[in-house]
Amino acid sequence: MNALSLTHLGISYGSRRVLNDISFDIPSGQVVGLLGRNGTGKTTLLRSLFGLIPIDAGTVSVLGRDPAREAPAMRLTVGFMSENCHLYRWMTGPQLGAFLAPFYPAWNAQAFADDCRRLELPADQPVGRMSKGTQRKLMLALTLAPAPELLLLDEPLAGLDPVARDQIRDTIIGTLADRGTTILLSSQEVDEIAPICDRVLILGSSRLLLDAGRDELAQRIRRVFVTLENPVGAVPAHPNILSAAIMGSQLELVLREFSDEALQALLANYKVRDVRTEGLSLREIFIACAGRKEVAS
Amino acid sequence: MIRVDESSPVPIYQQIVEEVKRAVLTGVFGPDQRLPSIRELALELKVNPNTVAKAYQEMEAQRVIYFRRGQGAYISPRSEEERVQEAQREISRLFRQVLDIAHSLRLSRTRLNDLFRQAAQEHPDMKEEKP
Amino acid sequence: MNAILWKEYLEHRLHFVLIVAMGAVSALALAWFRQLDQDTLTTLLFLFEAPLFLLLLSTHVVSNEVETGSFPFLIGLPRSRTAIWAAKLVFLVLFAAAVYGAYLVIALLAGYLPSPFRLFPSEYDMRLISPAFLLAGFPAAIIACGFAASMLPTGFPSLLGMAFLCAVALCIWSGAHLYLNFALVICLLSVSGLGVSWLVFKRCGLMDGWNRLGWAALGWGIALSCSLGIWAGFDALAERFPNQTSDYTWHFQTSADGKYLALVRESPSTAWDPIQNKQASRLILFDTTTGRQTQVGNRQISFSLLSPSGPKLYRETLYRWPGLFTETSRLIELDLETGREAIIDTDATPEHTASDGTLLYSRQIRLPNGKGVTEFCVRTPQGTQKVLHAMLDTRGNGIWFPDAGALMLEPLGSPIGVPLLVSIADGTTSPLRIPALERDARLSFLGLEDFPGFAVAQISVGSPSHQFTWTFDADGNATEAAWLPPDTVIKSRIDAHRALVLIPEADPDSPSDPLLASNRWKPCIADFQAATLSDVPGWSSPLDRTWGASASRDGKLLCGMVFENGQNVLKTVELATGREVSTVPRSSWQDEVHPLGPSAFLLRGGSAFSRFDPAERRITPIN
Repeated sequence: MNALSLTHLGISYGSRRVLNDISFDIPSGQVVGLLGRNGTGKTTLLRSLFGLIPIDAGTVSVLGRDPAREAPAMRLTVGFMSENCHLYRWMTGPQLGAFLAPFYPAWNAQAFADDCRRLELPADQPVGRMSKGTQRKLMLALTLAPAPELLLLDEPLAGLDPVARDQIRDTIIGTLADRGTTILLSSQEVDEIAPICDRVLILGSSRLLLDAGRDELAQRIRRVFVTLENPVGAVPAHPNILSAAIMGSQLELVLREFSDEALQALLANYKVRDVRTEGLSLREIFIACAGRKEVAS
Repeated sequence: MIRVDESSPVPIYQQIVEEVKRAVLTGVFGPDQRLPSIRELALELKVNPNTVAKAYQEMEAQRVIYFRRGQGAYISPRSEEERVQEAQREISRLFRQVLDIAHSLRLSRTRLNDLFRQAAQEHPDMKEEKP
Repeated sequence: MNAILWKEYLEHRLHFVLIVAMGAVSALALAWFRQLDQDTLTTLLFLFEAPLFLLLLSTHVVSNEVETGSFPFLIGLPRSRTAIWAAKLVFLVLFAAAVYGAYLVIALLAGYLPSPFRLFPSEYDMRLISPAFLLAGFPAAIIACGFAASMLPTGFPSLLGMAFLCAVALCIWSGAHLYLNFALVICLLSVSGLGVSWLVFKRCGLMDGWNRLGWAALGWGIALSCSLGIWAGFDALAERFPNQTSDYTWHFQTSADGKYLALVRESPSTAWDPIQNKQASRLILFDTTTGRQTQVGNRQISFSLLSPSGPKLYRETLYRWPGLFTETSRLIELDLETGREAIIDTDATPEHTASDGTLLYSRQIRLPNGKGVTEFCVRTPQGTQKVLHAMLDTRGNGIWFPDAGALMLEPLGSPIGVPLLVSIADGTTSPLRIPALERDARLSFLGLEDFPGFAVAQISVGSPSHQFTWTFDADGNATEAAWLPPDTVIKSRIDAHRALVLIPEADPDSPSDPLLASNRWKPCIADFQAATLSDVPGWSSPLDRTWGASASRDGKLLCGMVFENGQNVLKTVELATGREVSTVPRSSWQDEVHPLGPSAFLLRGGSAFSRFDPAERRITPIN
């Protein structure tokens, strides 16, 4: 069963289309990293999935419910952690726990207390006086306490010190191991979320640039070093070439939808002396995909 | 014991498989030794438990480990012959990489042999052995 | 719901303590300055402090969430927005109840309870504020409006200011013209405020400030339009079903043929009518033969006039449109046969109609310097209009003597004005030369009669005043009718030179008292050509009031209310012969006789009118 299912989702702010024709499914238990440069609509996407922003086009199903019409029921099993802290600044952690508990039938006070202890959250400090990292940790503990089946995490690691990042990552991994929660998380810390993700979505301006499993990435996108017999002046043009560089007779290409046949077809017109290919790290893939100027496809 | 490189293009589950295999090969993991649980390993490596589970499945398929119901994963015992064969396969694989580089550098086989001998001389544990 | 209420309580408990403390301190301060009394304390606590604090809190309760950044968290709770909105509203209501309760305790401790008191004391404005309004309606409207403003984190002060200005404008507007139905205003404000807040809360959420402002403006626009629509609907309904129960008739007139009776009645509006004055003048037309009644127009009438010659009704209707602070009126002619209406003039009042159907009306023109001009115009039945005379600055009283050929204008501006006569033929003016008028006298309105070629006026002189009768012609030449005793009342014209007059008789019970002497009247026939006074033949009973007798319009009959043989009767005799036509018992509350048509009479008792046909000895109620 799909925890999340989007078909042709579109969202506009006034006349500006922020998201356009986004379609993907997330099966239960998958951890999906949502990558994209600033302003590509990652936060908008997550908010709309939580029913905070109305959807203008397409259909969305979150755990089988429509967030536009069934948001209250949906939110009982979906946890959303926003990038900024929206908690009541005058409340302490335990107060917030006590405030939220009556809303969720599945609220696990014990798990919340454990998480608070593990994340070293102060019990007597109001949110307004907490550091950003502590706030984020408290938000995570509050989000996890009702045992959600799906977690929507917006930039869970942004702007935090390494220790806090580790604590948050450990908590997420622990939750994954214990409950098999489905997670959709957006982040800019590509390297740090890479090991957590099963799958990666890269958002370009308002549309989806890449949707691939973490492990097939190295096969689908590869860097090719070609040594030619003669120096060349121009790079072959092809929509699958994400980036290219020339150094004399050396050619360096980053290709998507990589296959040997495609490579041979691409190099058919050149006298090739030697070809070597290698996989890319997620960071390199991200830069290659998102950093490229938009080409009309 | 086991380490993964987050920025490497090699899939993490594969890295885990390689690491465990190498540890078995070098004797770090003895036969019937219990591996950490998926949760423990995921937290230790800071990776997705799904990935660890996938690595364990892969290793089970390659018979590197076996599962005891409700107790976890254990290193498969194997005969000396199997170990030697695996070691030889690993060495051949590494040699192939070396030969690839030599080919692209257009080194002659004699030059390659010289290089190998020199490297063996410099290695503290291998130099006593006479060809 | 409970969790949100509990959270709001935690957040605002300090505010509550502060508000109660403020109330207590202000009561103590009043006591210290020896100003503690019922009205001051009630006004201060329930009309000033509590609403002010409630307004502050209700504008704060959502906007604060937005400003401190917790709004996304609030609407991200697993509850519908409507539920969250309702929780906030319930909290406000509970908070208001708590504040009012605490203030009630403070008032009780000070020894006072809120009781009805006057909000805007003025001569005309008798709006009383009831405790229910103080304790329930006012906070409800405050909460609703404040709550709606609370959806606007940035633009709300301007919106609140706008709403306040609108309210003030409405009050000014209503104060002059409308008597605000507070219950309805409160309801409309509350409903529209709550509707807007719900709409914004449900639809906008995290949109930027301008978007929210746009939504709110749209919402208010719709809500206010709906309110106005409801308002207008109420108006139409109330006019459709006017309150007939109790009224005071301050003007009535019958047509020459006696078919129509036009009443201008001060009738109370229906209780649920939000627009009209609590007392409004309505023009109601009766058919005296069938008793059928029609309300003419649906607005306030200031004056109406039935044409004696034809079935025409003239009326001045007052208009005041929303947003206009000045009143404007229209003179409208209604053809009673066809039901067709025509606007004759604006800001004009019908004054008189002549027997040939010519209409005299006055028209007020406001000049830019703030002064005004009153024009007296005539309009012939053919529709030609001309200005007879214009008076600067003052609104004059114009009296039309079409048969005498003069229009008499009495300036109201000066205490003793010398009336001007305007010749209808050529428009020339001359002062009315009555020596007494130049001394210490006034023209009396009681007895003025129009005869062909001359008119009769009465001058009141002295203190206590006595009335003397003068005749004058269109040139202003006046002669005293010294043959008539002082204080004679000229009732009505009988023919070209004779009139029915009432002569005061000495009361045999208290002959020495000159004031009481005029309680008995004797009807006589005055001949202004021959300068003679003769008794009505066959009439012996004295009348006890001047309205108690009347000649019929054809001048042949005299009908009077007299006490004969131990009972109240209506006695009718032929003026020429003194032959008794009939003697009919009457109810004691019918106390006025007026002519109705050529030979019938109209009996009036308060606001009840009846038709009396002396020959058939029949009294038929009209309304």
